[in-house]
Amino acid sequence: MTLLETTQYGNPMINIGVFALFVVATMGIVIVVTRQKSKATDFYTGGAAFSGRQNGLAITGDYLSAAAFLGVTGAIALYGYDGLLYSVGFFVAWIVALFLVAEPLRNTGKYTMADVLSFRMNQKPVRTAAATSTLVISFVYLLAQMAGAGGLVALLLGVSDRNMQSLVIALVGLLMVAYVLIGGMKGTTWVQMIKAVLLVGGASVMALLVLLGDGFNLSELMAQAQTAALDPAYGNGKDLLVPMQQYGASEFTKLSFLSLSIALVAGPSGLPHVLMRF
Amino acid sequence: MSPDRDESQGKPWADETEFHLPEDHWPLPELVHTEKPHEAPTTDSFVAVSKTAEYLNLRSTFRNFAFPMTVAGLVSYFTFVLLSIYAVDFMATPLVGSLSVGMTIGLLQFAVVYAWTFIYVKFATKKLDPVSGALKAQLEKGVQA
Repeated sequence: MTLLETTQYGNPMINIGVFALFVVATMGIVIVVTRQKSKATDFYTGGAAFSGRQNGLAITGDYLSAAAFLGVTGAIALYGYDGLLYSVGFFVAWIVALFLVAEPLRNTGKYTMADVLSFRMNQKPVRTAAATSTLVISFVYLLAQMAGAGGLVALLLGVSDRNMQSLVIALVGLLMVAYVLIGGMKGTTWVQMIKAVLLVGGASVMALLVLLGDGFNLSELMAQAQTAALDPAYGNGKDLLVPMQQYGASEFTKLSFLSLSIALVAGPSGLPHVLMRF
Repeated sequence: MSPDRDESQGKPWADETEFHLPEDHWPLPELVHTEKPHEAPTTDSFVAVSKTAEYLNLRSTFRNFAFPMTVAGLVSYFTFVLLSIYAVDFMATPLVGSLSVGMTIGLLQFAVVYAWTFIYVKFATKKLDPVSGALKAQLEKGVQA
């Protein structure tokens, strides 16, 4: 996957400044929050000190990955209807997670998903399976997130050299590790809460601004997007509002679309960082 | 207000995770409670409760709600997906201005999820929480006895 080219967005010094400000602010919050004396168990569970609302906000933060903000927007911008599936599927997955996973997991008094799963079963194989699944999912998930985060940071900082971009990605990764090591569960829960507020707030503001440009006329906005997409200078000449533009080529790709829809609806219930919050 | 304060009562380093060690490994007496941390209900009491009618009722109430709701939600979603794949022209017909039927149905899925969550919260508060709260109180009272 090629990293971004050297288009410059804004002044890199301002971008670095804002980025550093966010890092300092959130790291500060993490340190303050974990300063309270706590038991070893609190590092892993947050000490049951979070209210239902706060925990809900943290779940939102975990559930809304960078994909929801960046990837889906991009997919819809390029492929229109087929990109819509990503956000719809992920959203409907919430029903599956809520009814089939969250309620039964609630109040079991156990710390981890592996604890809950092996509660009444043969400990060793179940724990091994849980650990393997967590590691595999985390690895794959992190690859995508880090590449996206690093690419974005490289773009904002105006870094063009391939090696420098890799360095930026590595630094972002180290920063994330630092958050977790310093904060433990409590710290990361606060980070997720802040993230949820920022994501939803930021996306709402942008959506409002875009809609404002068309006088809150969604239909008009879609028509304009359509024209831009069909214009070969901007888009890839595909019709945005018609399904199967990306996946309609053959029976195989259609099945691929169906398979994607199943993965999107069943997958999020198994994500370890979402499961651990229940 | 935090559970740590309540338990340690001015002895901030009391750490219940060391109590499972043999007594000569416990932290210095002046730094610790002399009482052990509060016991949780035993496995036996859990097993006993799991056989009561109340508990089984609670579980079936939940299941009779959750499964149909999940199935309905998924049926709605997969109708959207399958129509998008096989009824392309139908889904492409404009409904409101340039919003196609397909896009509207897709956006309706969001409404379904919101509605389902709202219904669930109402249901849980009214039917599930009182019963599970009573069972929990019963279990904890049994421990203190």
